[in-house]
Amino acid sequence: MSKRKGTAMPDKRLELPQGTLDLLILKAVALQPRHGWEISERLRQISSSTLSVRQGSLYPALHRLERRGWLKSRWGTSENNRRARYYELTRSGRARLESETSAWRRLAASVAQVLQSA
Amino acid sequence: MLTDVLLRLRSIFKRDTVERELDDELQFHLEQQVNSYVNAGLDADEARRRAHLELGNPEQIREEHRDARGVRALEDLARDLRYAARQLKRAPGFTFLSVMALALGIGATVTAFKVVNAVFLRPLPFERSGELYRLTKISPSGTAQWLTVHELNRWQDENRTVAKMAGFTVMDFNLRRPEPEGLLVVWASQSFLDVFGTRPQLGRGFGPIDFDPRSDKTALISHEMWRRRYAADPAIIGLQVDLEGPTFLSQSSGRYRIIGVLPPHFWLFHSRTDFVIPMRPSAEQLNDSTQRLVETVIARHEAATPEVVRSDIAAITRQIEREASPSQTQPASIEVRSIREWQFGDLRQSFLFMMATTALVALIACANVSLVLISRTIYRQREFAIRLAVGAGRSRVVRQLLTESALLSALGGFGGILVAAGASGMVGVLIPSQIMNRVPGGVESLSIDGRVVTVALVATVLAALVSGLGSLLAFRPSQSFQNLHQTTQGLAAANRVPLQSVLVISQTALAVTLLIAAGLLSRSLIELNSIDLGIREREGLVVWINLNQSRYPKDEDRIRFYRTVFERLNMQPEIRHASGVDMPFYFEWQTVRAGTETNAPTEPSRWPEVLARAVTSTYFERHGIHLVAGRYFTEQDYFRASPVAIVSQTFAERHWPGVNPVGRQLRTVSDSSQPASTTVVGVVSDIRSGPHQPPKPIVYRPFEQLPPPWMYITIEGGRDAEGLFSAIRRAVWSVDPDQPLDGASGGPWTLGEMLSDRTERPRLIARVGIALAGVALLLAAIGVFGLLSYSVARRTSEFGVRIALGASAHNVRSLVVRRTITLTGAGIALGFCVAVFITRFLEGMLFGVTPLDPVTFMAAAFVFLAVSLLASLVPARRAMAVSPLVALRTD
Repeated sequence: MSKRKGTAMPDKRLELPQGTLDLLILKAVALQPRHGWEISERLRQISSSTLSVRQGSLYPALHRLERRGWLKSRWGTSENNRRARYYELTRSGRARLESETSAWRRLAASVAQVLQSA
Repeated sequence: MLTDVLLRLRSIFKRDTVERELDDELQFHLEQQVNSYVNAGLDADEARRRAHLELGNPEQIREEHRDARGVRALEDLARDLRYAARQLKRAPGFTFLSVMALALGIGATVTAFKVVNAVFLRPLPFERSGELYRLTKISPSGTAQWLTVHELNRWQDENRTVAKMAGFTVMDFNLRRPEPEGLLVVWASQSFLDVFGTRPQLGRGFGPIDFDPRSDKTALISHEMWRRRYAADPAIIGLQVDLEGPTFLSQSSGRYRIIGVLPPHFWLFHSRTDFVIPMRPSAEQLNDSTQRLVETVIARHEAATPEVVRSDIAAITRQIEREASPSQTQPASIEVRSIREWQFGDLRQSFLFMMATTALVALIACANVSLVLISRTIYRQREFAIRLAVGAGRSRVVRQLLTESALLSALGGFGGILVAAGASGMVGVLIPSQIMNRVPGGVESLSIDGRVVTVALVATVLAALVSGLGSLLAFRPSQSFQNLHQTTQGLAAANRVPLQSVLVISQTALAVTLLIAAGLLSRSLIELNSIDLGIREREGLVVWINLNQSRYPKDEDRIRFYRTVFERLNMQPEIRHASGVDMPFYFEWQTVRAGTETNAPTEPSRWPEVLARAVTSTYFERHGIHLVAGRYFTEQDYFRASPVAIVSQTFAERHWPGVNPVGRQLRTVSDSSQPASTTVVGVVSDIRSGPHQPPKPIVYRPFEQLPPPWMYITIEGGRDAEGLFSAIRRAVWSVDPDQPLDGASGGPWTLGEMLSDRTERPRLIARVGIALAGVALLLAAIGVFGLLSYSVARRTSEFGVRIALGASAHNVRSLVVRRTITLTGAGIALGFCVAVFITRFLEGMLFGVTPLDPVTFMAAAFVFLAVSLLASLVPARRAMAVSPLVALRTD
């Protein structure tokens, strides 16, 4: 493939294990309801494009989260007047976000410690 | 969680909407992405290309989303079912036959289980019926012995293992007003209701005062009698009825006050109970050790095992005997059996046979379905090859095949339940009424309860598995690449049908085995029935007259009654002959001890027991019992004349071997009489009570000299049973209008019915065996027909070539016939091997035929061959009608 104009694709992209995608999605809608594309953009922005998320996997993940009661969705109008589906965090979703976040932090800290102690 | 369930339901029922929503979302996503790239400076095409790349394959996304919905399995199942239904609709003939076959097989199994359930599995209508046992006293000679009231009391008072015990006897009573009717009355001891856990629905049960011989007579009435006779009037409590008791129970006739009504469906091991009266033995009855009045003893044990109870009661019995006669060396033994074992234990083998045969029939039906599915699987190899090539997983195709067989089986199972529900009538025909009447509630009580439904479901699932197995075996995915290139015809031709042949041969083998079994059982039945018991079975009606005890207390009264009745009977134009005997020949009771001058030890209690009968003078001739020596009874042998007797041949040979006994003296003594001396005036031929029984020694007395309290009167005449019965009713009621004519035990009967009582079990299994063998034969024939049709169809091109090359129609037909004979022959041979192994288990049920009877085997083979050739007619004709041009062009 020849080079094209536009944002360059970063070389290193980290593969994302499944469970963590759910966590990131919950975080992405923590502040306000967002539609699917917004969520995907937010993930890309926050991670400076280091995280590789196949965009398509988002939607099945969103549905799963909705089934588990952590997100709820409704149809609304986007900024450019198009019909879009918005996802927002439920109360149990918020609780899940908190507990998973602290669990992740503890895990990351322990792993880092182990790795540091050579 | 609720949201999960709701979303899943939505995914199922609003599938299209959900899919559309996803598409909308993806569409929106793409648009936003494209816009963002365009705003970043990319040109439109490039932006679109990138956006698509980043989103990913939409179909894959949709698949993942479907997985995420959590209804994948259900959707797939629904799709498979729809597809399977379409496939089935495409071949309606085969579908119909398969469903029919399965419905028959499953229906037969479920029906058989319904009966087995009613007899062996359903709880009996008593509270905690598993705790109830019957205690029987067995005399040293091996026969069951009734108890005296005294013995019963001692068993009750002295035992240490039984919680509750009751004794009772079912007796024939008469009710005189308003209409004479025979009744079954239960004479019961004090804890009767307690033992069964029954409480009256109205009024009260028995209390101690009811058992006091000085107080009024009281009775409980059954629910059914209350409804029938008294229209369920609540004022029944306190009503007085006049009951006539049997002669052997003194003071049982009189006025009884009804104090309570039993609950509905009170089942006491026989057809019906009309009244229950308290056991009130007089002092004499209590102390007389020869008055054995208690027939059945039931105990409720709660914790003790039968063995413990048995030894406990046996110890009491031994003690009683030792007190009565210290020199008695041979004690009686005690048998303890559960109620179910006692009532139905003898049926176990027959019902096992029944279930085994229905299972075999069901198996044959499954084989039929399997055949159909296999044929179709082979035809569809090409379709499967294509599907596999475009990426369907192998397990997916397999799942589809199994879904088809599951759908067929489900339809068959549903049909089977319909068959079973409607087959109660069939049950009534196949299973002799004597057996069904033993079940509480009779034929009407056969219901479909939880157990039956479970069995139906299990049978259906097994059918699905077995029939699906066949098509699985025929599915050859490994050959799929070559299959793509073949024509359908070529495919079928390449497959040399070994699998189907194996199935048809197995089917045939099973059907032949069933035919052989049915044949053996039928021949046994014929042998049983044709056995010469020494008594002739004729047209006629048998009526039982139980004399009202209080009306005919004296011998002269009874003689007068019988004499007059017979006179009147002979006057009726419809009646040709009338004769009477006090007890049918095959009942084992009513015996006396007989001693002769040469052959008797001195003490009468040691004389041998023989059957005793009182007969009319016409009895012997009417029943085909012929005279061996001396004479029949005549008018001379009236009441005050010298006592005479006629003996059976066996008796004569035993007591006067080699000598003519006519003119000799014979002394008889019974529990209720003193020794009497009679003169032998004749010897008659023997009769036997059953084909396996040796002839019994019998002493006959003329009824004028020993008038019995009841009599079985046989009348023969030109009219049908109804007409004869009215004739006899007219005659009897002209003598005594209060005399009932139908005992509660049944009657009137035909002589044939009375004799058929003895063959109830052989009749059961013969009928069931024949019915099922017939069904098996039909199913196997259909299997043969199916395979032949298929075989002819696949060989169409071959036949076309042969005909083109000059083969005649005859040649082609003989090809088909040869194939038929090969198939059937192999099946029959295999069937013989299986039958040889299996009929061994039937040995106990056979009579007059060996398990390896060659005639039966040959007959079964012949029948099956004939049926197969018949089944081959249509395929053969089709083969002959093949047009060579069409055949060669067909795909």
